[in-house]
Amino acid sequence: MSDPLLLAQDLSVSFGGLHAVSNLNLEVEMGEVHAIIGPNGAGKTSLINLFSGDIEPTRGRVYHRGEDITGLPPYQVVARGIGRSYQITNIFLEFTCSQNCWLAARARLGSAMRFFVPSGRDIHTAKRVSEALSLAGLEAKANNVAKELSYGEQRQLEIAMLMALEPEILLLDEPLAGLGVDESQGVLDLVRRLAPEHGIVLIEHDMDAVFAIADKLTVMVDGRVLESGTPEIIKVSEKVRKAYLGDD
Amino acid sequence: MTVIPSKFVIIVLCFFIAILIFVPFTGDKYWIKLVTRMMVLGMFAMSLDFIVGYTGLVSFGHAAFFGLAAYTLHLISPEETAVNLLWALPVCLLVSGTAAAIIGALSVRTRGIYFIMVTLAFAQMLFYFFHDSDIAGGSDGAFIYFKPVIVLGELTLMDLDGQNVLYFFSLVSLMFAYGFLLIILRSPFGRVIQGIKVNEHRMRALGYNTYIYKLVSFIIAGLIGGYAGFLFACIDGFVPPELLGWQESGLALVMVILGGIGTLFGPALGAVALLGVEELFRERHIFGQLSEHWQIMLGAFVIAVVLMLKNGIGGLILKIGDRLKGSVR
Repeated sequence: MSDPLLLAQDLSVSFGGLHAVSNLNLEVEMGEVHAIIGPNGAGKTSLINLFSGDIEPTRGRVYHRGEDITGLPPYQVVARGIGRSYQITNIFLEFTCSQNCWLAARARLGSAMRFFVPSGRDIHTAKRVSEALSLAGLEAKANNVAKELSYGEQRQLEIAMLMALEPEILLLDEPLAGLGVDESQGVLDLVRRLAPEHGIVLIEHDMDAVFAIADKLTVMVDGRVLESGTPEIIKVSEKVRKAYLGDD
Repeated sequence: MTVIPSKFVIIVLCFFIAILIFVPFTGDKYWIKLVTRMMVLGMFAMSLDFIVGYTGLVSFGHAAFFGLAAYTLHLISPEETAVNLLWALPVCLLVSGTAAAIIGALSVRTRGIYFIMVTLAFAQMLFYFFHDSDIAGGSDGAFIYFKPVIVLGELTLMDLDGQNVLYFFSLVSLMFAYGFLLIILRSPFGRVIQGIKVNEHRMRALGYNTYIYKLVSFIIAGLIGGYAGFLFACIDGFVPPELLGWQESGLALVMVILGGIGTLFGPALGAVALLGVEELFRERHIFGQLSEHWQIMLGAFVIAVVLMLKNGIGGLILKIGDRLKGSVR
């Protein structure tokens, strides 16, 4: 059997006395949307941070296609094709949408140590920028400055930047938060369209969306995996019902 | 991220260049020297703006590279003959660039106030090295008896001993530095450092090793700063250790702030304004007794500009440009 796309083994991280993630095992396969759900403070975002290299685990390892990537700095993790979006909008507010996406698209091209060629000359990057913007439904706003966008549009820009990175693994941290119904649907359609050729880790609070789109669900409580499996299994799980979904 | 200057800015700059070209024809030696100093310090301030205004690294030790190039020129100039600029300038740049690489490698890891302190500390170390040692005249400073020349074979093409020659060489150098930095800013590298200034964390998350980009931009600024230091040493042929001191670094920062952070052409105008206003306030015929206390007036002037203009002189010019553009539509 080939190595899984992304594998977490006995992953733990604690901040002071708080065990944000403890002894977590998780596997993400190609073509799979793996949703992580759980109450606030369950350690979902910490898990994404561990995958993306934003934080280092206290214990345990992370493997990408069988190779140990534990402790790599974020920029090297991205270079391997693991991209993330942020829960709190994290974009370049002073730049236009295209410039935001340009920085993302250029990142995957390797070193940007080119000093005397105008950036606009790079047609390949420009093409990726316009593709990314249209995937996220922002092509009309290409030349608008990010800080003048609505909140929903800024969230879309976050997605567009992730698209411009062209990662094979998408780590989506609440991509729907703050989006209207139509925009949410747009993002969900996009995720569905990308799923066959990507491995997707999705954190989301909107349960209807999660159950509609996820191939696999992992329920986290207090940094631990409570239950993991297909949506059908999770729906009927007694443990999950008690801990998270409520008794009714 | 607007790098290419607007038409209005280009017109304003052409206007300034026209005045600069005219100055030597007055034949007034005092003025020619003053304006040479303005241009050279303008270039120095511009190089500082490259890291402060575009990469977001506020360096308080930029004089290190300025003074180091000046001292290098002294050390490689023989006492009885002039040194050839064609190799002297590259050597001075190499020394400044190497120093920037070493200081940068250690200081770029830090941020904000720590970066300010670390760069200040390195520059002060160099200051005391030259101030307290006999290498180059110690606290008395060092002299360059013969200014650099450009000699090809038997032919002397240029002699910086000529005041007008140095003047025009400085003007061309200033224009070259501006063009050079503009080209870099619109390259992929230039976009990346501007991204780092706005949101370094996000740049790392996108896959950029921000450390190396910050370091390279620090070295580029050090090189241009060194170039300016080389020219400055040619003005008086005198290199005091103060060129490396924190006052010099602070002066450059004042010029950057006065001229407009992140406008590139602004800090050059900031240098012109600062030296010009100093000259004005020292004028006895106008200010009488008060001219002895010109520093107080200069301080008030800087405060007034900072309070009244949002982003210095450069910011004002950009704003007027935008207004005019708006009214044309």
